Parts: sequence; structure tokens; C-alpha cells
Amino acid sequence: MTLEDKLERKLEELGDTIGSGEGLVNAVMNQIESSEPVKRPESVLLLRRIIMNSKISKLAAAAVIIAAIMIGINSFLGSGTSVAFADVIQPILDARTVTMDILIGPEGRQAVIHDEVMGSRIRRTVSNVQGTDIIIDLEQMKVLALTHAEKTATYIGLDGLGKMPNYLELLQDVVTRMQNKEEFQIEDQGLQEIDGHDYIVFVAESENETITIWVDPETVLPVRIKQKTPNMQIICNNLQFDVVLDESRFSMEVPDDYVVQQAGGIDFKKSSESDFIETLRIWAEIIEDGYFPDSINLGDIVKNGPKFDQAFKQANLTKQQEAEIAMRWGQGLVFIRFFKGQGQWHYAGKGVELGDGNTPIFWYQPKDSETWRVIYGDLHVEDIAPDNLPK
Amino acid sequence: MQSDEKLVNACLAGSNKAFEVLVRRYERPIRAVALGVLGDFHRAEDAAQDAFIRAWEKLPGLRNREAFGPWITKIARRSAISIAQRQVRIASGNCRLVQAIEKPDGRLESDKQRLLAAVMKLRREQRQLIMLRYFSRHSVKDIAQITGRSVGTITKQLSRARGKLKTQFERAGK
Repeated sequence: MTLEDKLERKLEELGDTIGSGEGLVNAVMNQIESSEPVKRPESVLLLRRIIMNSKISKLAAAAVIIAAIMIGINSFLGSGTSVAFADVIQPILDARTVTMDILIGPEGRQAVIHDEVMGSRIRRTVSNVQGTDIIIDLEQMKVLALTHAEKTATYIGLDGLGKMPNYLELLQDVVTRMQNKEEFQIEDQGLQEIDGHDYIVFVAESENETITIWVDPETVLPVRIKQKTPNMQIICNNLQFDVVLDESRFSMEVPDDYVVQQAGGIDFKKSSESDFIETLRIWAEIIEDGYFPDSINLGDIVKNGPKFDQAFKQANLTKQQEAEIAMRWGQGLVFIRFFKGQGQWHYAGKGVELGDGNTPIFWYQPKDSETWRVIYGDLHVEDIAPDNLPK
Repeated sequence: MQSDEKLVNACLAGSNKAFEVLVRRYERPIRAVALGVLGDFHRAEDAAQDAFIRAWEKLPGLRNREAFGPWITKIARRSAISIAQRQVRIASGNCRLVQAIEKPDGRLESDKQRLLAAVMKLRREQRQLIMLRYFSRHSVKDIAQITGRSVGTITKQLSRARGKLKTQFERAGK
């Protein structure tokens, strides 16, 4: 054995003597976890605030219903194409500008909703629908849908969503929530390599929701956020902040050569079973040829957006009728998107014909109720004990 | 294998998990540094823990983030010296910071103590490489990724560091 070999062996033996183990690592990490948060640069606080913000989910849900409703509206307005869509990350709204892609539903088979955000306004397009842009004004709670082929401009009111908090208010709220950590258990998963890039990954879990956030370690900004609830999954991808955008793209003014239409609005405070039943009826009668849809999940609604248009064309409705029915259809979606019952709702309408009084298609448990409400294919409703629920 | 720089960035972005990776990576080198000063495993453990906590607190002030290894080594040395000084004050009369480490209970055997002392006398970059290679048992490729340097550079620097240790070894053997 050469002297060099001997030296290497002795060095390794010395290392083994010095040893390792969980003792030191655990002691250090326990002390760090239990200590008061260390003051970090502002960017770090910003990230923490975004990550820990449980309000993201609530606002996402709010925004998603706007989107879901607008899908119907667009289609019903006879745009010839369009679908519109979702807003996920309210905290970034007060960043100067943001762009992102939103995917709703199982990964790999969704339409992509592309959002450009400037202050409280969003310009939105959907990949499977060409020719329609949606501009959302969250301050005035108003939407302007521009259908370029037909040169129509439609204003839609969004009542009852309440004031959407601005960025600063949201951050303050997040800091409080971070400190309390009541709703979410946060798991820091450290650095992970995905497609050759390193991201810091945080997972925030509550009883009914998991939010995963991928953060670019260089910029300390989130690049991807996945929100998963029992009934829905939303992925917000390719987040980019402070992209240079033309302010005129966010104008709520109607272009000179466009014809203005009024579509009324959706009242987000109103969330009733009867509105939902009306939505199901319209869905089956007008859109699905007498059958209930395969799915009422948001992702599938987006994916099937063009189908709505087609159905309305075949129904030979006037523009005014289309608008009225669109509003009624959208109003009922508030019921499932802002579901106020206990636990989850269940949908089983796939393949069921409208008028089938023996087959349950939807059931849910109202808040503080011991029985469940079950909606059947003929749209009558029964109160059912938990033991007798559909399997 | 994530570089130190990336892990530090992740820590500063709020990831405690990233810091845990750094603690695991450097626990042996930091213990070794503390042991070199204190000559006692138990106190070295305290000094190492103190060093990591201090590093966590001072992390935003680390400008050269790829130099996390040498930086925390310095912190560990200071922590160890501070503990030793407190000990000296308590046990007045004993002014030596580094005592002979020959007792089996909590102390290194003499030949290992000499080797450790020799490692501690190396230049800081060389010392870091030796500790990562032989104490933490990282491969040359891993060390290249940790430090953000090329495999060739690490190989050369390790060879030089071993050369210096060998010289010291030979001298000690005479």
C-alpha cells in the first residue's frame, strides 16, 4: 500500500470517527423550525406570503366560476367559437403585469387558458376556441367579451362576488395566516429537478385541498401552482411577472366597429338548488340532445366549449334568447362552484335521459342536514337518508 | 447533486429543507473543524450545532453563495473558539485552547488528532475538498457539483491537498 493510499484510508477512518447521524441534523432543524422566523429579504417574504396564502384557493374558486359562466355566455352569445377562462392567482393581480397558462382538470387533456393580467384587469383566451377575447375588470366586476369574426362586444355583470382584495391586503392576510398556520400544513420539499430545471417545491395541505407551488430559486417567484380539491384540479403554469404588455389590450371600451350587446349578469350571492336544476335542464335539453352531460366538472366544460355554440346554432334561438338562457345556465353553476353543503357533491348523470324519474343524477348533503338531497333524471328532488343513498 | 449556491438560494427563498441538505452535507466537516479546536466530541457537537444555527441566521448576508462551505467552516471555528474560551474562563489556569487529544472518552486518538490538525492547517479551499471527499465521502463528481467547479479542477486541487498532507505526514514520521 502506498503512502498516498495509507493517507486516504486514514482520512476516511478519521471521517468515520467523527461520524454522523441524525443527532446534529435533527437538533439544528428542530431549533430552526421552532425559532422565530429570521428576517429575510423582501423577496423571500413575498414568496412565503404567496405560498402560505389560503385565500388563493378561495379566490381561485371565485375566478373559476367567472370563467365557467363565461364559457356558457360566450357560446350562447353565438360567438361562433369561444370559451373563456379562469383566474387563479389573485395575489399577483397587483403586480404590474403577469402572464400565465391555466389548465383545469386532469393533466394532459385540457384546453389551455391564457391570461394576461394588468392590475385588476385580465385579458383571456382559450386554446380550443379561436376568435374571442375576454376582458375582465375585477374592480367594476364586469366582463367584456369581444367576438372578432362577428364584431360583437358583450358586457356581462358579475354581481355578488364582493370586493376582490388588492395585492397588499392579500399579503397582509397571508402573513397572518402564515403565522397561525391554522388552515394549512405546509411541507417544504426543498429543491427538485424537473425537466432539467431546479425548483423549490412547497406543498400546502388542508382537509379538502392541496396546493403545490414550484418556485424558481433564482427569482424567488412561483412559476407553477397546482390546486387540487376533491372536485377539481387547476394548474397555473408558465407564470411570468412584469412582462411588457400593451395597456390598450385591457380597455373596457368597445372598439369603434363592434356592435354592443347586453347580456345581463350573474349574481354570485345567489346559489340555489333550483337554479342548479335549471342549469341541468338547459344542459340536457339544448346542449346534449335530451341527455345529461357526461361530466359537469369545470375542466370538461372548458374542453367542450365549442359544443355549446354548435348546440345553440341548431336551436335557432334569437340573440336575446341565447343571452337569457346563457345567464340562467351560468347562474346554476354558482351552486356547485360555491358549494355550501357538507362534504362533496356527487354527479352521476352520464348516459341518463332527461325525464328518467328512477335514476338519480346528482346528490349532496345540505349544511346541518341529516338527510341528503337527491336529484333524479326528471329533475324531481327527494330527501334521502344516508343509508339509502345511490351507490 | 445540488450546488451549494442553489441550496443557499433556496434557503433564502424560504426552504428549510434546502438548509437541511446543507447541514447533512457539512455536518462531518463542521464537526471536524470544531473537534480540531476543542478536542472533545461533546463540545464539538455543541459548537457544530451553534455554527449551523448562526449560519442560518446570517445566511442573507452571505454574498458569495457558492462559498458556503468555507464560510460555515469559519463560523464553526469561531463557535468552537468561543466555547473553548468560555471553558478556559471556567477552568481558570488552563489557557490552552487545543489540548492533547489522547483520552479515549470523548477524545481522538493521538494519530487521528495529528491528522486532523494537519487537515486544519491546509488552505481553506483544500481543507474543504479533503473534508467533503474523505469525511463526508462525496465523489469527485459530486464535489464538483457542490462547489460549482469542474471535475478536473477538483481532481487537481485534491491531489495538491493530499500532497501537502503527505509531506506533513512524512515529516511527522521522521
